[in-house]
Amino acid sequence: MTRVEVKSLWKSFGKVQALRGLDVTVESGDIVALLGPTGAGKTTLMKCIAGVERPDKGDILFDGESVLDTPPWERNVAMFFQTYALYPHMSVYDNIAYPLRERKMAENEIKDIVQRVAEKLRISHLLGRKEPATLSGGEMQRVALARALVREPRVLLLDEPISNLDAKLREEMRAEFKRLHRELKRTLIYATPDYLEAFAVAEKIALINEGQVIQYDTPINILRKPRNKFVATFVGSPTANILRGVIKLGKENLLLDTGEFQLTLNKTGLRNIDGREVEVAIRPVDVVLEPVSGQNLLRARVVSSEKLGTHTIVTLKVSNVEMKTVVKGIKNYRYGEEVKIGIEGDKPLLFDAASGEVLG
Amino acid sequence: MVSVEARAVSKFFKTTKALDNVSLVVDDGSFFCLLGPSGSGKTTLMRILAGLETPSSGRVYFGGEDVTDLSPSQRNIAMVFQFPSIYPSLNIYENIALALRRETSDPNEIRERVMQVASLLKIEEHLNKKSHQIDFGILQRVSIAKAIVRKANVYIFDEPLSNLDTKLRETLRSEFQKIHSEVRGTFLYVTHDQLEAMAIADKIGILNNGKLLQVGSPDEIYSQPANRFVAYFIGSPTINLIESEVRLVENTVYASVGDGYIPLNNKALKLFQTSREPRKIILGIRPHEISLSREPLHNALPAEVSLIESLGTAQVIELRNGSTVFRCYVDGLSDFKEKEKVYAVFNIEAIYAFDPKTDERVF
Repeated sequence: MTRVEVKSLWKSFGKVQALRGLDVTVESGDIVALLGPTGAGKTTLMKCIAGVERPDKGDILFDGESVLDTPPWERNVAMFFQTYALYPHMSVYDNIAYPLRERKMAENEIKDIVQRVAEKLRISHLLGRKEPATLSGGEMQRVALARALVREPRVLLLDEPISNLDAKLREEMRAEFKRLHRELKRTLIYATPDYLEAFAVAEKIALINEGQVIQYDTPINILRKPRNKFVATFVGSPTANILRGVIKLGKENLLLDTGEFQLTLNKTGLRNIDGREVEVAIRPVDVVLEPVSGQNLLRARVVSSEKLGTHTIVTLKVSNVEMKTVVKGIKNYRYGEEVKIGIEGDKPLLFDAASGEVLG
Repeated sequence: MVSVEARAVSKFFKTTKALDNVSLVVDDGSFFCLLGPSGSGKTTLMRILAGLETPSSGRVYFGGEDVTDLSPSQRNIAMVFQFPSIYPSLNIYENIALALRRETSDPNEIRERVMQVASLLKIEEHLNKKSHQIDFGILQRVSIAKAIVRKANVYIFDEPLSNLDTKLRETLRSEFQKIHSEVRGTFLYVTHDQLEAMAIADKIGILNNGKLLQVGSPDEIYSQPANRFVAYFIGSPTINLIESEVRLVENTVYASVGDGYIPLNNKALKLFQTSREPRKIILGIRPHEISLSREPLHNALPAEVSLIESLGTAQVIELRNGSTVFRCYVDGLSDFKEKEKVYAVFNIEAIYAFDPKTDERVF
């Protein structure tokens, strides 16, 4: 097991600045997700850790020792991509054994290792298959993963390993990675643009944007205590509704004037807030459809209702502001239908409109 | 806009049967989703309906007229693909306007129609840019604009969101109902993502192994799946499908789950109409119809927590009894721990039974 430290890493490709002083530490044996949109720098960071790319500035340490001058093959890092290739002319067994044969290991030793890894990945029954092309997507994925694992890497880097799978398979594989990490007891870094995947797999999440770590925290803190507007609008499904407006100080609460309507926010203790332009994050569950009573009662029009089975996401328009809410079960609301809504203003998150940083 | 119909359509590629006797009606002006995993035949069926492929047997009708031998342009189809197709030398406005060249040459009408779809797809600010100046998500909006600006008989969407980031996908997904309401056309939409299909469609047709398994509204296919595959494929997290033995004890039916038993409701008596012998079923129950307790509640099944998957504000908890593994969905964050002994309560009103031989739903 290996502790991986990335210190103030910079990397550019021509004019594109991929990493801008990125810092992150993955404790030995932990599983950490790098979460961020396409182009955030996740893959570049992984390539630098693997040694395939050399950073312009900064350092990478394995167990306290810099590996910048260690070539990739000596770092003993396995990197696994979203596109992977199995050798089509080799059996599943031979595909997995390939890296070990390259090392000229004895066949009986190879057999032990291949069987052990295959068992962990639950593909023992596939070892005899002659044509890997006939495997299902999920099976191929696991065979490719087994091939990466037989080398017993110190660090395992998974770059969007399930992005190319069907949605249903993706959901099934999510839990598999968590189980795999537990059995392998190895430092594992997992990059994904999908927040649900990051939540399902990792104990800690580094949210990355524009080459920097925006927040490095437990999943629950990322969700409940976002550092800024970017974090609040990147996680959650649907993500928080953002309302922009000017704050007026009330007696025991705040008033948000959006220009179209006013909201009462039950929040105190913020300094220099009167007259400030802010953005407020309202969680979808705090937008209540057809409320009997409560504060912030408004009229809205239905833009869409997405019936997802366990719940329905309803998109609403209040004046010119779009908001989403979630209701349990399958509910039919028609496009254009008028509904009453209530917005619960308890403990809302406020962000400075200019900087996006959280207030208070 | 017209209705679209496939009658007994089959398709072979060499010796592989890609479509097996599929019949289907897409109502005039409706939003229909073809849903299925990779290799299910959904894309082949769409291509046959569009006129990009000819069926090995069977016919295709648009508004009641046989169009099997007509090309896509003769059928007047507008299509959106997985990857945007935009001319790089033209700006976005010109790209959209180009799609109208066969319909009108009136500059005022062109301008009006382009601006209308640009506003619907929220791309007004990009109209003067060229494709290399805008990102993939916006380009896909442009592709959709290019298709819906036309007056087509049928608008076909081939996995238009599958190459977008999760967040962009969810945003654009929620706009599709509005797009459909404004365009008022017949929409045929292909996807492998059941959530996407559930979210946007009026009706869904589910395919697997070249067969059309069920057609229905999102509500119908979710709450009344015709068979085991539909139950498995629809819904997230995936339904539990448990191999079970049911037996009749006095007037109550009990189903085995691992080493334990749970009672079923009266619907289950149907299983014993012909014989009172114990029989095998596949018991289906969605994860959110199972709740957990630390107390040995009446009719609860003892189980051990084997894995906890966090979904942020909810959890999927994997449980084990004997060799049977099943999952339950907990809203909010519970403090259950892995390896903990708990009791699972099954909502018996929400249990399905599937025939293990035919895979059809019994109740």
